[in-house]
Amino acid sequence: MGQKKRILVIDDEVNICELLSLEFTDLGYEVSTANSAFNGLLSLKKQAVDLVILDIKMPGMDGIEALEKIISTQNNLPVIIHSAYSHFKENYLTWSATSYVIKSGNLTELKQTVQDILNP
Amino acid sequence: MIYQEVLFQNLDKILNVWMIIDSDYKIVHWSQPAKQQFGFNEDEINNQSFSVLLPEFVTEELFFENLLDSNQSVTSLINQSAKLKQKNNIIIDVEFSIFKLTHEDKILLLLSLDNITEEVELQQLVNSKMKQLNERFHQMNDDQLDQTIYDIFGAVLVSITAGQGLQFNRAFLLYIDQKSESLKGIQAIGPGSGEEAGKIYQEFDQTPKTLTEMITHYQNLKYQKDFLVNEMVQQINVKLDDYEHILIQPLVTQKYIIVNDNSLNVNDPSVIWLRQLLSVSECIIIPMIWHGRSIGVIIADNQVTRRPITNLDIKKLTRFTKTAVNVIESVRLLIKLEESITNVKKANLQIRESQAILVQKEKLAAMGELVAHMAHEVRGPLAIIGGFARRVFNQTATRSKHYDSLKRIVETVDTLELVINDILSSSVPEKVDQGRCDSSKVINRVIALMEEEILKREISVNVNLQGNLPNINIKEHHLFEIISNLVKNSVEAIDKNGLLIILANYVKEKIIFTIQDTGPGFPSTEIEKIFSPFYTTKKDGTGLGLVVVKKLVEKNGGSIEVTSVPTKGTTFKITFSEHYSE
Repeated sequence: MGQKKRILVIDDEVNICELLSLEFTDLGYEVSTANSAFNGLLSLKKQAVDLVILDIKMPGMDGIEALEKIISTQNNLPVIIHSAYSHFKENYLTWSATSYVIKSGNLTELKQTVQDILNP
Repeated sequence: MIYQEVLFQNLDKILNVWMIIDSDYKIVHWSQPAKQQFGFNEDEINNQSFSVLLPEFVTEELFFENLLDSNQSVTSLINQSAKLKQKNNIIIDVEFSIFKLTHEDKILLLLSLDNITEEVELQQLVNSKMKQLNERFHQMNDDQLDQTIYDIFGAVLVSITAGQGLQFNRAFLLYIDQKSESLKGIQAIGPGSGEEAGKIYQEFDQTPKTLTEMITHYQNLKYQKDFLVNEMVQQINVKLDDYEHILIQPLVTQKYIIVNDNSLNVNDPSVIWLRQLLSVSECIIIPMIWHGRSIGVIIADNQVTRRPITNLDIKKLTRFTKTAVNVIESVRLLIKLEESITNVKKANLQIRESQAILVQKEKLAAMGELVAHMAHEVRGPLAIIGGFARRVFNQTATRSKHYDSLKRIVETVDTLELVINDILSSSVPEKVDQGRCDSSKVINRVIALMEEEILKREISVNVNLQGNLPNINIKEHHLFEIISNLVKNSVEAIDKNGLLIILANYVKEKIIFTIQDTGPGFPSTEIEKIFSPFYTTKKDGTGLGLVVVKKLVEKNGGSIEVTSVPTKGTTFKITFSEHYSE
């Protein structure tokens, strides 16, 4: 295995950031977190990543707006939307995301999706 | 004798329009008003034939019926109506009576009449309105007679038999039943036998004399249903197409008939049948006419007293029948109106009930939304609890004393998540508020937004929107996204100096948008690729515009087609069905 793949988690809920950080680090990824969309975009400018896990409902800039900004600058960067809400799937603005995973205590689906994208 | 002379001198004031006609139908005397009525002057009236007053196709024989027939006992025609002609050929409606006068061996006819033209015209006006009303309510059990109607029938019959003026012994009412196309006996009043006659007249004698009181009394008679005459009349049922029948003839001719020993048709089977049935030698049959339409007949006779029916009787009865018919039919119409009002009220009540149900449903829907919202809100924290629990659990050895506790936490969170999923999938479908969208408005908005860009690039735009485009079942911002993406693509493809065509047409319940440009186009091999993400020919494009367009079109039940010719240009065609709904 060469260099570790980098994942950026953007979620205003610190517990989620913490949990995903622990879990994906265990799986061998390098994980950074941001607790707002704004900080996430800032972090992306400083350091390139291989995948973004993005929450939608966040105070200030929401995930949908962040997604647009991410794609307009790096349109090949995979983004997984990770939300407790399913109805944002109806919003076409989320369709440009690579995948949409609903939040759950069971991280199997999210892990599988990340694996599929980064290690196909 | 002097009084008679005075009377004769003033006869014009009493009878007004009258004339005397001889047995050759020559008018031998005109009253002054008669001359004026028909427009003849002194010189023209001498020995004038009555035919000058008759409209085409009406003969004197027809007009005077059998009055001059010496075998006939009929000596008068009372309150009849007909059309006559004035000198200036204007036809007028008249109500007339004719009396046969005999002087020595000469027969003369006295005709007196009233001009009722205006009345008839007014009647016709009322007719058509009434007919409309009647037709409108016709479907509502027309053949079922209300108890109110029976009471009115009773009142009519009481008036004919027991009234101050009419005083016939018996009266029978027969009505046309449209369903069975026959004339049916409905109700009758009068003694069925001599004994009963005594009983009834005794009772009527003891009762007060006003009509209303008599009617109330009649209604209270406990044996009213048992009147023999009622049984008798209810046996009568004559088909309407039996034109020769004595009971049908008055319906056809709309003239009364007197049946007695001297009748011309005394040997007619139906006449024999009727006289036997009523066991009477003389009776009068009067048609009931409602705005020109025959609706039944009244039969009246003097079976008990055997008093002959006089001209005066006929005059009173014909007038009375007119009024009675008016009352009966008005009440019938009122009953129908009442019924329809009841129905409308019922319908109103139903509407209100269903409105209440709707409100209830909306409340439930609002509650459902609330529940859904809460479920979503719970899902986030639950993911954290479950995530950390599972993490710890995965790292705990089976022999650890915490293993079992952690397992329980993980399992319970899993169950809770399933419960939430259940709630969300069953309670409320996420609200999709489709709107009826005015596509012309959207297109115009897109063009307005792009105007600057279009001018800058010197692009000619040809917009052609068919008038009266139906609205489409799509959210406005969805349609806006579709159109603006395609227009933006085209404008960028043209770059400079080209033509952009935007069409909207409505064909066979489908709305078709065409967006065509004179840009560089692309080879047909590329067509499949253009809708895949990140395909772009532009330097700084994201390649997502067309992906979004396609998804939005399909989501709203439409289809998208593209044709392109390299160096000539590209055409997008989007089709929506008018009636599509999710």
